[in-house]
Amino acid sequence: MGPGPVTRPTILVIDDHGGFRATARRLLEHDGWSVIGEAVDGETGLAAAASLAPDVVLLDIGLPDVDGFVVAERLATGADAPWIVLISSRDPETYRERVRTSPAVAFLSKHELDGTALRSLLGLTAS
Amino acid sequence: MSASQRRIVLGAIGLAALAFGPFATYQLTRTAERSPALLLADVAVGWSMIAAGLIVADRRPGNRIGPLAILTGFAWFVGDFTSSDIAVVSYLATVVHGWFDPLFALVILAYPSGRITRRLDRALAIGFVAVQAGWTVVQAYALRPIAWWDCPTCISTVDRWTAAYTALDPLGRIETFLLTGLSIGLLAVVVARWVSASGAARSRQTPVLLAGLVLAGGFIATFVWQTLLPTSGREPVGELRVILLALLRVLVAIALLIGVLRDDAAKGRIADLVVRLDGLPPLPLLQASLRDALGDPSLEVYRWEGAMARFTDATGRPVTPPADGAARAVLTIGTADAPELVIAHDPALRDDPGLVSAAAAAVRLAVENERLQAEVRAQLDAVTASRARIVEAQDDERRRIERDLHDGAQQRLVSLQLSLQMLRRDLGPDADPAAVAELEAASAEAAAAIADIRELARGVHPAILTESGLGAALGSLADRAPLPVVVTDELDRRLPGSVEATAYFVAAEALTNAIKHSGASRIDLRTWLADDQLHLDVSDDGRGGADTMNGTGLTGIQDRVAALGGTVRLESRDGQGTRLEVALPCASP
Repeated sequence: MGPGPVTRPTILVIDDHGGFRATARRLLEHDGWSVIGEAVDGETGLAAAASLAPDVVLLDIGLPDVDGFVVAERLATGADAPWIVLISSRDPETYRERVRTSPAVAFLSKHELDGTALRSLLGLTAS
Repeated sequence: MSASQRRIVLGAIGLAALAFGPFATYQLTRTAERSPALLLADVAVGWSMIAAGLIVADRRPGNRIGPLAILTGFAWFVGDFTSSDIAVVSYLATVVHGWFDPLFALVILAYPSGRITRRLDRALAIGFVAVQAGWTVVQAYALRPIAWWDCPTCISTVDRWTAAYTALDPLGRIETFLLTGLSIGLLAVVVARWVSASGAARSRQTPVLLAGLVLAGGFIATFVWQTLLPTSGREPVGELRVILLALLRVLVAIALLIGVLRDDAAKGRIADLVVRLDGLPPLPLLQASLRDALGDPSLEVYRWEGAMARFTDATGRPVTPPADGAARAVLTIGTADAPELVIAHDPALRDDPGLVSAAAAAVRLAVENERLQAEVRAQLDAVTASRARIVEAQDDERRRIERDLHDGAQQRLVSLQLSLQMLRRDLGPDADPAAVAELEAASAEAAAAIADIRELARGVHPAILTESGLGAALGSLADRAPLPVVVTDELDRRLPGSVEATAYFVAAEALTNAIKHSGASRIDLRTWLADDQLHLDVSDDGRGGADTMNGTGLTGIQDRVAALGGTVRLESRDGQGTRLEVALPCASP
C-alpha cells in the first residue's frame, strides 16, 4: 500500500502542458502538498518517481511518449509504489473502464484539481 | 415480302407443281408406250427439284438457288410436253425443254450461297446460258414447220420429228459438244472445290459433287451416243437407263436439300456459340466451341498478351500466328494495332463467308463484352476503394479535430479554470464577497465552456472510441440515453478505426431515432463478430412501422456502411418494434 500519514505529502506531477504544471504546482502547494518534482513525459516521469519516491504521482493520461496507463502499470510494480492519480481534461467517461482496471487509485478531471479534495480522497488529513 | 406472304406464294407454287407434274408426265404416254416405273421416275425428278427449291426459298429467302431449283424442276416437266399430241405444244416444249440442264448447272455453280462470284464459275455460267439460248433460237427457227404441220391438232409422228432433227443434226452435235465441254469444266470446278475442302466444308460440297457428276455424266453419255456412234446404229435410249438417270437426279435434289438443312444446323450452332460465349471463356474452351461451331477441327485461336507483347495459343505457349494465305485463313478480332484474338482456320471455310463472319461476330461480341465488363469492374473497384478512403479520411479528420480541441482550447480553459481556483485561494477568507461571487461566476462559465467543448468533441469524434473501443463507447451512449439501453458487447478485440466509428455512428443515430419516434421503453444494442464481419443489432419494443430509412439520419449512415462494403437492414412492422441490422466487413488487423 501507499505511504503512511504525513503532514505534508509529496507529489510528482507528470504532464506535458507547462501551463498546467505551473498552475497545478501553485494550487497543490497552497493546499498543503509538497510538489517535489515535475516531468514532461512518461519516461522522465518514471525516472523522477524512482529517484524522488513521491507519496503520490499525478499522472496525465495523454502523454506524448508513453500512454498514461502504461506508465501507471510500471509505477505500480515497485515495492514502495506511490499512489497514482490519473488526470485528463477529457470526460472521465472516456477512460472509465481502463481506469477501473488500472492500478491508479483515482481519476480527476484536470479542471477540477483541488489539493484539499485530493488529500481527503486519499485519506491524507491535514495536520 | 413478309414471311407469311412468301409462304403463301411458295405454297401456291407447290400446289401448282403437284398438279402440273402428273399432267406433264401423262403427256409421255400420248405418243408412245411408257412403263409405270419410268413415269414414276419422271414425276419424281421434277417434284424433288421443285420441293428442294421451295424449301431453300423458304429457309433462304435471299438465296437464288431456291427460285433456280424451282425453275429447273418446271423445266423438267416442260420437257414432257415434247410428247404432246398437240403439235404446237410439242413444238414449244421442244424449243425450251433443253433448259433443264443449264439451269441445273447454275444451281450447282451458285451452291451454297446463291451467288456466282469467281471468274471461272461466271464464265461457265455464261457459257451454259449462251449455248442454250443459241440452241433455243436455232430450234425455234428450224422446227417451226412442226407447229403448223397439216393441222395443229394432228398427232405428230416420230417420222416427222426424225426428219426435222436429222436436218438439225450437225448443229445439234455442236450444241452437245459445247455443253459437254462446259459440263466437264463444271465437274472440274466442283471436284477442285471438294478436294480443297476438308472436314465439314468437304461434306457440305458433297451434294454438288454428286450433281456435277450426274450432269456431266449425262452430257458425256449423250455426246458419245450422238457423236461416236453411227447415226444408223442409234437406238432409242433404253428405259432402264432413263430411270437410273432420273433416280440419280432425285438423289441430287435430296442431297442439295440436305446441304441446305446442314447449313441451317450450322446457323444453329452459331446461335449456340453466341449463348456459350456469354462470358468470354478460357482460350481452350473458346477454341473448342469455335471448332465445333465451324466444323473445322484444325481451327486455332491465339490470344494477344499485351503485357508480354506476344501471342499465346490455347495451351499457353507463346507462338507466332500464321499469316492469312492459301494455307490458312486468318481472322483478327480487335484492331490491327491492338489485336485481341487471332483465329486461324481452314481456308475452305472462305466458301461460306456468312458462317465465319457470324462466328467472328459472336467472338467479337464476347471480347467486347469482356472488355466492357472488365472496364466497369475496374471503375467500380476504383470507386469503391476511393469511397472507403473518403470515409477513412473523414474519420481521420474528425479524430484530428477532436485532438486539436482537446490539446488547444480545452487545455487553455483548464488552465484558466485552475488559475481562477488559485485566485480564489489567493483572495483568502476575508475577501470582498462581491469579488468572490464574480470569481465563482467566472469559474462556472469556464466549467460550462469546458463541458461544451467536451460535448462538441464527442460529437465530432468520441475519444472513448479511440481510447477504450466500441463496447465502451456504446456503453457511454447507453448511459446518456433517457431510457434503458442494454448493451451486449461480444467483441473480443479492437477493430479498424473506420469500422468502429461507423458502427458507433450507426448506433448513435439508431438510438436517437428510437428515442425520438418509436415510443420504446427499452432498447437493445448487440455487437458480435462472425465471418470476419462486425454485426450490430439495434432493436426496440416501440410501435414499429418505420418502413423506410428515408428522411432519417440513417440515409447518410447507409452510405457510410456501404462505403465500407457493409449492409444495413431495417425491419419495422406495425406494433412489433424496430430492428436495425448492420454488417460491416472487417479484415483481421
